Amino acid sequence: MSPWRPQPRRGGAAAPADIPLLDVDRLTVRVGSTLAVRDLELDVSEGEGVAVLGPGHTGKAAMLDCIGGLRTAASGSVRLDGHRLKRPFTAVTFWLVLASGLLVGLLTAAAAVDVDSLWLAVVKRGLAVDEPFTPATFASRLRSYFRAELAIDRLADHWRIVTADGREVLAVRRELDEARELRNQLQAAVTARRIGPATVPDLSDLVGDANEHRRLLPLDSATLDRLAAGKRSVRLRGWMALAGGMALGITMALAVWQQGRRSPQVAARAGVARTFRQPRIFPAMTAEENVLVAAEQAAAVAGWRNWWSSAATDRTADLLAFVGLTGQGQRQAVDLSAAEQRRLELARALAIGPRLLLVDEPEAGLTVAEQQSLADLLAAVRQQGVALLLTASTAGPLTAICDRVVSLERWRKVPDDSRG
Amino acid sequence: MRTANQQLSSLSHWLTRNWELPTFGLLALTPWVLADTFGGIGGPLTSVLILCIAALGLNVVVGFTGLLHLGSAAFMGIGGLLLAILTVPTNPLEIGFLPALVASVLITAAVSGLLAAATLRLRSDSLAVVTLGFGEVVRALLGNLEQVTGGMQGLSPVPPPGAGLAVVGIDLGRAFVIDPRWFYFLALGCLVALVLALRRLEQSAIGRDWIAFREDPVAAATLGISSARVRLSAFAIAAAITGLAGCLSAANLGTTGDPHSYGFGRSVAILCAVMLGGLGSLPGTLLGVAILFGLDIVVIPAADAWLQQLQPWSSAAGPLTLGSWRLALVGLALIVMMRFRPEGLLPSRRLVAELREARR
Repeated sequence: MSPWRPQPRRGGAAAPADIPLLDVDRLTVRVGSTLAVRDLELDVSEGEGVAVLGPGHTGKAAMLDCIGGLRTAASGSVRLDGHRLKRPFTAVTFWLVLASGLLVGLLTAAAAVDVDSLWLAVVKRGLAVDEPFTPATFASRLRSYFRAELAIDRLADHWRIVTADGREVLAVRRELDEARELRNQLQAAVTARRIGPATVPDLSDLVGDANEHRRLLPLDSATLDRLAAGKRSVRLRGWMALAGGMALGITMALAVWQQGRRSPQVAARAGVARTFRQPRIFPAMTAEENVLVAAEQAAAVAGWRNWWSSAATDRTADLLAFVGLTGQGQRQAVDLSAAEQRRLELARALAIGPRLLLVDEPEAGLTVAEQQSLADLLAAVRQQGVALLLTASTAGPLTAICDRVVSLERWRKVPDDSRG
Repeated sequence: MRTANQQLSSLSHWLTRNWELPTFGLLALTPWVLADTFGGIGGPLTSVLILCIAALGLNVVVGFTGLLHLGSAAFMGIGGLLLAILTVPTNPLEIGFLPALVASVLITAAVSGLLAAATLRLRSDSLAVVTLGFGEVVRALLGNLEQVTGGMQGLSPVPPPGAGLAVVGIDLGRAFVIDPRWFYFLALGCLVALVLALRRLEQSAIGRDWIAFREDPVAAATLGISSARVRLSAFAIAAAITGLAGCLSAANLGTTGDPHSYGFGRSVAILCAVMLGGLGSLPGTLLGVAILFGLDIVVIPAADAWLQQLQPWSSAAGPLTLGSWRLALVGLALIVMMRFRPEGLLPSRRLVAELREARR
């Protein structure tokens, strides 16, 4: 009779018959410092309708939040088809965590070395010596930069300095900072040779008083290596920054992953949809867009190819007709009446193709007639094989459509299950 | 027989729906309409078009996903710097304009994606503080890494697009330098393409996810909309657009310029332009930039030049200029606007509904 059908879900082998669809086991939920739910046991089997009845503030909403993944339980478990609703640690997660760790590590390592002089010695040096910029020269310049850095560390004690290209060495009677400064000037001077071919700077310009400084013989690369080998500080600094940064990055990524494990998206993709006590529609969208945005999620779960098909649009029209909002699709959602908003929210929840529908106090703010028609609608939803878990504060037409009524009283289930 | 008033209202109704063709048509004709003054006014007009692109980028984050972003100008800086690093002749890479543009836009988007990934769990107000800090860090780095970024002077000379290329006998690089119309049309072309692309995006599944996230993140999450995906995609796309604006700006000016032009002040000015025009609305954003920056960059200097020619009130206090009053004028305009029309000048249909909801 109705054109709407629940969407077949991809994957997921049929669970054994004795495992209920939803299995809530010794669930305890805290809201702030108050205990909202304590040691709750609840089962909902495939296609079953269960009403949870209790006066206000008995933790019904907190229980639904917990099943839907909006809230984390203090203890206990929620299982769907016998599986906890948690995002698994997949190979993709592993590589993402590793990549973010590596990235943070490289960033801290870059911060630990002097980026500016590195750039000058590695990228800009080719302009001085007229060599092409290829991966091979890049690698060799990188090596020579670190060698010169190491040699500077070593030579600073002896008041000597080596340029980044490792060819020219002079002795200066200066402190370490000044030696570094002089080294930078030398590098700039070497770079400047490209600008004007006639102005090759004389190193004696920089050295100044001949009595204080003495030119040494150029060091060959073997000597530099020997000097560099004795001093580990730069290399050590770089490696330590890399390791520390990686540890930090991996920890951060794992923390983010851990927090997102029990997220509403996971529940939604597993087939748990919900509505709220106060309808939470998207006010700035039209009624049609409200449903369409949810239908597109289902299409994306079913396979990315559906993104380009009109399946989501067709489904939206079907659902709007199903909840009795035909012809209202182009109206702004905020302009709909309270009862219409509730129906729209229901259509939106159904659009993700749920197997279990959580409905939070659907009778709130509705007249008796509206409650009755909503109950008829929910009964029609149940006809399609969708399991229903609804909360209510009083028994009425909405609890009457359920197979079972469970009473909650001050965060505890009343032992006797009455058949509704 | 329809009255003039009805005709006017139906015209404005038609204009709000089909604003692209008249607006861009008029902009395309400007070089010929203002033929004699275009030599002087063309450069500033191009700057306004480029700022329009930057504002459209910011509008993706602030307007569509509702996250407050206070560091958008930093991404202009990153985009411009990357383009400069890849093309400036004092660096060894010197690749062509187009590949450099594509690479800079992609890298800017990746950097922004990283920022979004690091701030996935932050609420909008803390995110605003983080983006503000990020923007200031970028500005400080641009000023202090002198070898890489050129320090306070910026990297220059950034070659014009198509430098060294000759198409049908025209040396493109020379043409871009000599005639401001070339760059004007390049910026206008980018803007038109961007507006059409964003219009499509707004109607697409990703666009609807963004709006749903802005409207109610909790309800959106229960439908399976991943907030991580929303934030990452919005930040990356926004930064790609803003980075494109930075690239065009650097190529237009020939330098990445003073790092302070990518600081907090510029970010807030762009944000004000977006809010003035109407959050989440494409024509509104363009109008906001046209009013705020057009006044600042084009109209006031032109008016001052005209006033100086007239010299109507020569006094001991020096010539009267509007330039010294412009900040006060802009501030006053923003205050008046927020009081009487908080949804912006050309608000999006969606935002009006949202504000109506909030007033209930």
